[in-house]
Amino acid sequence: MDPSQIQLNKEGRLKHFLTTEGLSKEILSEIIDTANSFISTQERSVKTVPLLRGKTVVNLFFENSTRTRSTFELAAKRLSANILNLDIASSATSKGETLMDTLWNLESMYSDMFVVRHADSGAAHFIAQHVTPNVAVINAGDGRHAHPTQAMLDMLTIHREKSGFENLSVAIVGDILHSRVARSQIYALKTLGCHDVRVIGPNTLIPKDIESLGVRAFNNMKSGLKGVDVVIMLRLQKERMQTALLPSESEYYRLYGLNTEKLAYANHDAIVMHPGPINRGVEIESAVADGPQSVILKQVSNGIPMRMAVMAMAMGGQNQEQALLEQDQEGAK
Amino acid sequence: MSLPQPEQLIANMAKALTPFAQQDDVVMIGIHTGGAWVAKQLHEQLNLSSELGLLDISFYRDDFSQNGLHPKVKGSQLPDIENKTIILVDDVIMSGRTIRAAMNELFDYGRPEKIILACLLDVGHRELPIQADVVGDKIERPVNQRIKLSGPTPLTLTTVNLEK
Amino acid sequence: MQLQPQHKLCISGGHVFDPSQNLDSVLDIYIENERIVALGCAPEGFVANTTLDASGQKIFPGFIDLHSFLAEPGFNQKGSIASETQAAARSGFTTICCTPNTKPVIDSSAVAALIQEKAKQAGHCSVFTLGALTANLEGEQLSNMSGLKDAGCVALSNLELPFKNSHVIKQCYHYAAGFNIIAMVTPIDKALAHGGCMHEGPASTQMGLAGVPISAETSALAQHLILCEETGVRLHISRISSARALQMIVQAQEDGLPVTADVALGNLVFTDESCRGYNSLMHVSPVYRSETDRQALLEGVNKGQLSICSNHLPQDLAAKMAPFSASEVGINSLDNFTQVLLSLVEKNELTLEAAIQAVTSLPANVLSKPLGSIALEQRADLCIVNMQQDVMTDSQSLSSKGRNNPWLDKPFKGAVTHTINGGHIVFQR
Repeated sequence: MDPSQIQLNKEGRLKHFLTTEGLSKEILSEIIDTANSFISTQERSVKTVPLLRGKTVVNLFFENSTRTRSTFELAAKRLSANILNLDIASSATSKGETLMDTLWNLESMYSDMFVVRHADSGAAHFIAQHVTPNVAVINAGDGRHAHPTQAMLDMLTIHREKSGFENLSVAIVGDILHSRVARSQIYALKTLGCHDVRVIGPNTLIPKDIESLGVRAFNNMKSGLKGVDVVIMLRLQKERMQTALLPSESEYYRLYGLNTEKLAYANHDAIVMHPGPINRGVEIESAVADGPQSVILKQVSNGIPMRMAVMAMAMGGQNQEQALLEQDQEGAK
Repeated sequence: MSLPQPEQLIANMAKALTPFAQQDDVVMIGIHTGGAWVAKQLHEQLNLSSELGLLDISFYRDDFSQNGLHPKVKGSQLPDIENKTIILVDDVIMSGRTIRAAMNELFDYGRPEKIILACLLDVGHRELPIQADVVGDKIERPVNQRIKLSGPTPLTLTTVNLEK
Repeated sequence: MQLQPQHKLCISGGHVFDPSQNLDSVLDIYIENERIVALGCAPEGFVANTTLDASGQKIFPGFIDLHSFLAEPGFNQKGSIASETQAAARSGFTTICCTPNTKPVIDSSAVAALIQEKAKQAGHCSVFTLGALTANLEGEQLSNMSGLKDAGCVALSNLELPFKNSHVIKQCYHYAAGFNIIAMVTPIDKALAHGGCMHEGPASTQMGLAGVPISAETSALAQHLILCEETGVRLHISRISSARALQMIVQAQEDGLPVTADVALGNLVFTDESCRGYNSLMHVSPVYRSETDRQALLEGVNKGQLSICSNHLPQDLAAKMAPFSASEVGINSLDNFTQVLLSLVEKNELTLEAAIQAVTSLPANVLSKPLGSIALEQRADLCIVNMQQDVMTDSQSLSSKGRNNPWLDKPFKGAVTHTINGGHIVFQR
C-alpha cells in the first residue's frame, strides 16, 4: 500500500498523520493555515477550544522524549481532550511483548487517537494499518523515517517569516543520514514548491542516493550556503563520534558548525532554524542561536498550534469517515 | 419569490444599530465569511472607531463529529472584548447553531458586557432559543431551502435547494 | 512411498521437455519401480499397472531445490518436514536440500539421520541434508565434515552467517577439499552490511531503513573466491543478489575456479521497490536489490550461469506482524514456486529452457548427482504441468505452515498436476 494514501479518508481529508511524503500541496497548505488559525487561540487567556472534547488521546512513546511528548500532551489538552501518557520504553515491550500485542491490549481502552514515537522506521504505518478503524494515528517520530509534525511546524515558521516557498533556497545541515526530521522537511519543502533544497554535511552523514529526493548535496558550508534563505541546523548526537562516522566534535564544528562567519555565506536576511534540542558549540554557536536571524524560539511556540491542527484535522477525518460509513449502512438497509 | 437586496437590508440594520454605535465601549465582530462582509459595510456606515473584529467559528461548530474540520479555516482576529458591548454580525440566521458557536468562542476570548446580535436575514426554522436583536428582513422559506450570501462585491443573496 | 515389486507406470501423451537431453516432443514414458526404462516405445512385454494420461500437458524432470528451510527439528510453530515437503511436492519438486539452521543444527549425523527419516515417513519429497560447515554454525570451529558427508549430507553450508575471521574460512575450505565436500556459502560482510534490512539505495533512503550495500556481498565474495582458488574446494555461492556478484562468479569460472552459483526465485521477481509501504513480506535475506540487478540475474539464468532455488523460509504470523526491520526475514515460496517461475517465462523474462534447466540439470550438476533429467535408467523423478490451467492459491489451500506467502489470491497460469518421485505419484492435483 502506498504509504501516504493510508493517511486520507475517502473524501481526501486527513485521517492519520504519518509522513509528509505523498501528501498534496493542498493538504500541506491546509495544515499550515489551520495551525496558523490556532496561533491566535494560544495568545488569549482561555487557550482551549472544544474540538476534541470527550475524546481520549494516548501518547505511546516507545522512545523517550519529554519535550515532544509534553507538547503533544499540551496540544491535546488545549483541544479539550483527555490524555493518557504511556511510557512503553520502560514497561511491557522491554519485557518482550510485541508491538502487536501492546496495540491489542490498548484497544480495550477505547482511545480515539494514538500519538506514537518508535525506534523502528515504519512503526507508525504499522500501527495505522493494524489499529481499530476510527482511531487516528499521529506519528511523533519513527526511526529514521519521518517526524512530520516537526517538519510542518518548521514549514509554518518559514511561511510566517518568508511568506511563500517558491523562490526560497533552503539548506539542511548536519546528520541527514539519521534524521527523520530532515526527510520530512525535504518532502514538505518540495511539495510546497521549494525548488532549491540542499543538504550539507560530510559524506558519511549523507545517505546514499539522497538526490532521489530532489535535493543537492554539499560537503562544503561556503558553497552550500550561498544564496540560501533558510538554514536548518540538525542536532549532532555525540554517539556519532563513536561509530566511525566522524573524527571529532572539534573537526565537525570547524567545518559545519554555524557561527557568525559561516552564516554570512548565506543571504543577509536568511533565517536560522533548529528542531532542537540545541548542542551549543557543536553544531551552532550561541551568538547565532540567540542572534537576530534565529527563529528557533518561534519554532518552539509554533509547535503547539501545529500539533493542535494535525490532531484536530485527523480526528475530524476519522469522524467524517465514520459518519459516512454509518450513512452508507443506513442507506443499505 | 424574489429575495431582498442586501444593500437595502444593510441600510435598515445601520439605522437600527445607530443608538448602539454611539456608545463608547462598542466593538463590532463579523462572523466569517458572510457576516464578515456585512460587518465591514456596517462598520463603515456606522463610522465605528474601534477596530472591526473577525470571528471564525470552525473550532466551535457542533457538527465536527459528522463533517470533521472545515478545510478553509481563516482564524479569528479580535480586538480586546473585555467588558465591551459587542455587536455580533452574521448574514443569515436559521437554526441558531452558528450563533451558539460564536458566543462560546467569544467567551473563551474574554467576558463581554453585552452582546447584541444583528443579522442580515432571518429565515426562521430555529433549533435553539436564539433571536436577533436587529434584523435586515424576516422572510419565510421551506426548511430545505437555504439562502446564501455571496460577495464581497457585489453582495448577492441566492436560494439553494438542498437535495433530500 | 512403499516400494512395490514390479511397480509399472506408463505416462502417455505428455510433451516431454528436458533441455539437458534435448527432449522437446510428445513421448510416452515407461517406468519400472524407481527407474525410467523406456522413452517413446514400450519395452517388450511391458504391462503397466498404472497409466497416467498426460496429453495436453508438459512433462519436466522433477525439480531440485538447493536451499529450503524445513523448520524441523526446533521450529514447529513455523513449519514441519511433513508440511513443507508437501508444499514442495505441490510445485513439482522431487528433491529438496534442507538447510542446517534447524534446532539442533545439522552438525551431527544423528540430526541428519533424523531429518532424512522424517522426510521418508512423510513421503512427499526426497530430502538431502545440507550439513553445517562450522560447529553449530557459529563460524569458529570446523564441523565433523567427513562424518556429516557419510551421514548423507550432500554439501556443507554456513548460510549467510559470519565466520570468526578469514583464517577460519580458509581452514574450512582446505579441510573440505580434502574430502571432496561441496561448500555452500552466501557471502556477506557483516560489518559492511551494518545492520541493513534491505538494499541500500533510493528506496531505503526514502524509507529511513538501514540498507545493505552491494559491497557487503561483493567484497566478501571476492575473499571467498580467492580462498576457493587457493584451496581448490568445490564452492557453491548460494543466493546471489547483485549483478556485480554474478559478473565476479562468471569471471572466476572463466579463470577455471570450481565455483557455481544460484539465485533465489524472489530475487528474480522482486526489487527494493517491493519493500515500499514497509511490506514485511519483502523482508528477506539476501535482500532484493535494484531493477538493474534483477535484470542481470534474469540474464544470468537465461545464459545458464545460475540455478534457481526457492529460499523457502516459513514464518508464523507474529514473526511478520511487526515494523519492517523488527520483523523476521523469510519468504514462503514452495507452494507456488512453479506458477511464479512459469509467469517469468510468460512475461518473456526467462526462456522456458533456461527456467527448467535452472531447477533441474543445473542444481543436479552442483550436487554432482545423477538427477534432474529424463533419460533411460535415470530415477523417475518427474513433474507434469498443465501450462494452460488457471490457478490461484489462498491461505486455506497452502500446504506450508508459513503465513508469509506474498502471492496469495493472485491469478497464475500453469498448474502442476502430478509429481512423480522415484516412479511413485506423490502429488496429484
